[in-house]
Amino acid sequence: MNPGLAIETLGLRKTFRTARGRLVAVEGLDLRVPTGGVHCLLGPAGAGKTTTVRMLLGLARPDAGAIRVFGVPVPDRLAEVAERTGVVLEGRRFFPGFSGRRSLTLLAAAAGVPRARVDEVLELAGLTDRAADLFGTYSAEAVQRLAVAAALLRDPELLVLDEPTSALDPAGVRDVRSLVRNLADQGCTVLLTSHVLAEAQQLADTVSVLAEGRLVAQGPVADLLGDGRVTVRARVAEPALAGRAAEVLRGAGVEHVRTEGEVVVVDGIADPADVTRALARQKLWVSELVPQREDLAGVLLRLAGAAAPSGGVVRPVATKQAEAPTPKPAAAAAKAAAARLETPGPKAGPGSKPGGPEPRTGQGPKTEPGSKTGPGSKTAPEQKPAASAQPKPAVKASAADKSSPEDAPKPADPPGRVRPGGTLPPGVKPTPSQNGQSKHKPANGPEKKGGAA
Amino acid sequence: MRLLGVELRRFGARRAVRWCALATVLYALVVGLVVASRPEDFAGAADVVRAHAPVLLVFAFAAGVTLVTAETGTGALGLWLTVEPRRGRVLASRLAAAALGAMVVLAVAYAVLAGGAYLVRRVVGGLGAIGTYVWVGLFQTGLALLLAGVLAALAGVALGVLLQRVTAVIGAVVAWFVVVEVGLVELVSSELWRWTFSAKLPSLVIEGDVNAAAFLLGAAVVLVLVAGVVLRRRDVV
Repeated sequence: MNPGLAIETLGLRKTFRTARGRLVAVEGLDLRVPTGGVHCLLGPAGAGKTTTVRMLLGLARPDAGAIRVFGVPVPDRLAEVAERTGVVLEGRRFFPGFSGRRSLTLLAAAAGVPRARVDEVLELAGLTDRAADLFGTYSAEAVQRLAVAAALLRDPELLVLDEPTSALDPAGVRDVRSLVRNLADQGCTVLLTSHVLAEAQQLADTVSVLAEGRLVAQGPVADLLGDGRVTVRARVAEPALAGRAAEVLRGAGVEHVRTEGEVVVVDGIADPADVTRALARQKLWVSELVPQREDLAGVLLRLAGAAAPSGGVVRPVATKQAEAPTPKPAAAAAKAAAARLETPGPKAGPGSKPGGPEPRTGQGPKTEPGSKTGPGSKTAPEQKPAASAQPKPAVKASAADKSSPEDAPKPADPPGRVRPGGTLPPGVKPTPSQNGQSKHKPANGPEKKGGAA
Repeated sequence: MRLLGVELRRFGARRAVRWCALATVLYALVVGLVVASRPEDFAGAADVVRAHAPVLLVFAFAAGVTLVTAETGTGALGLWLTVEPRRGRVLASRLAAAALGAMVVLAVAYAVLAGGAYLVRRVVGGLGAIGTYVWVGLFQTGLALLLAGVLAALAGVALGVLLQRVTAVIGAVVAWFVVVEVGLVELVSSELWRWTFSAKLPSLVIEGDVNAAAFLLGAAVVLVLVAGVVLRRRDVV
């Protein structure tokens, strides 16, 4: 057991019996969650996130493998871990006929927590006004707040949240993220699951990317996911001036500028307004500007490409552990999951519940609640220097990652071409990043986290 | 003890349990009044009271079932196990809470049933001569009812754990009675009837049969043990 790790699993495997035989939910999972900070289990639906969490909490028994939480073997000594852990599970997990206060009072009594703590956590979760109402009358947001309040009863050292922002409105998402970040800043280790890439980018310090039950990659968010910066494709009013526009942008200090025919492409920019501003100063008028952000499918493909040689991408997570490769099929699993995400279907539309791909940005920048890169959001000036830093490979093993955007090889799939195993949603042009090209080394993670909400 | 206290509070606070308890007491009251209105003296009425006592066991069984299945249905069990992950303790506290809660309600209901019949007779007249054997019989039935109530509650909790849903438990109970207690007895041999729950429960409650008590206790213990093993091994959603 590494002392710097709050959670460590080794070769975790879980299968379920189904009518069609055994379904492998988690396979050979070597998870390492560092102590302190926010760690995100990121992946599409069916990736094994919730199953992993349930095994960590002792709610499901692994078929094989070992789990240690704070160095304590689980489930053998689960009770010791439970005393230090707060949990937010997905769903409405309280009696509809009990008030929020009564539910918490019973949980507090079972946990041996003083009753006064109930009022404290209700206050923390912003639920004091509705504490006397029956749980059955709660909205999705109030349900989530009550779940968070319950998780905080023991003042936990480890907070586990399963899809904490699903079904919340933007204000609720912002509040929950703010609360999570504050707890992490106070020293609490937070493990959260999410299928929303932007959530991991904004909130997490480290991430484990799962696909089809396998670990595709894990490490610092900045290394694996980038920081949510966008690629901007701009078209000037006079197409012939695209080259001049690129020169103007470079002259204005905008980095990673290139042209693709009549389109000027700027990779890894924090604020798309910088492009229009710089061009307008030189009286080059932008007729079309499309910010495009890498989505989860793109991340999976990129990481799968990097994982192929060694079977998985594992970066040290706040410890000095040597790289521990995961089984080779991780790359194939990531590609399959990415292909599924990109296949249009009833479950794959923007806004779809867990597992649905994130809304594409082909028709405009994606606005995430609490996002710093959404429209109207501000980017702190001190983040700028990081944006101008030399691009660093997100993943060592990938040849493509060793190239800067300017001289990067062409994407594997030309725009508009259907990829093996999946198609692009209508109206969405694949961006270089969506095709597996590396992203730039982003700004320092912790600096951007503080005001995530 | 801490968990037991919490479970008892939860047991008492649940609306389903309260409604069931109220229905049980009302049933006892109505039966007590009907019995009191019959022409025979109180000694005869006491026999009728004792004959109706086993019906009250329905409450104990239902309370045990709903104490568990309500949690499974709402997903609250998963959350509960993150607070108290020792499943053996969780099951034990539930069994104890269901048994204690059932005993309290059954005691009240039986008191209403027997006491109601006595009081009405006393008010309107016609008590007749009440021998000691009448009081002893009523007292024995009361004790046996409490014991049977505990066993019914344990069986209810165990079946709730095993089948997880009220509808499944109802289906299983109905199927058992139709297939085993009626069908099998009719098809194979009427001698088997004395080994059915339909025979053993009244035998214990009304007659205080020790063999019936042992049979029912064995059945409850087996169910509880199986439920314990299943709960320990089962994945909780």
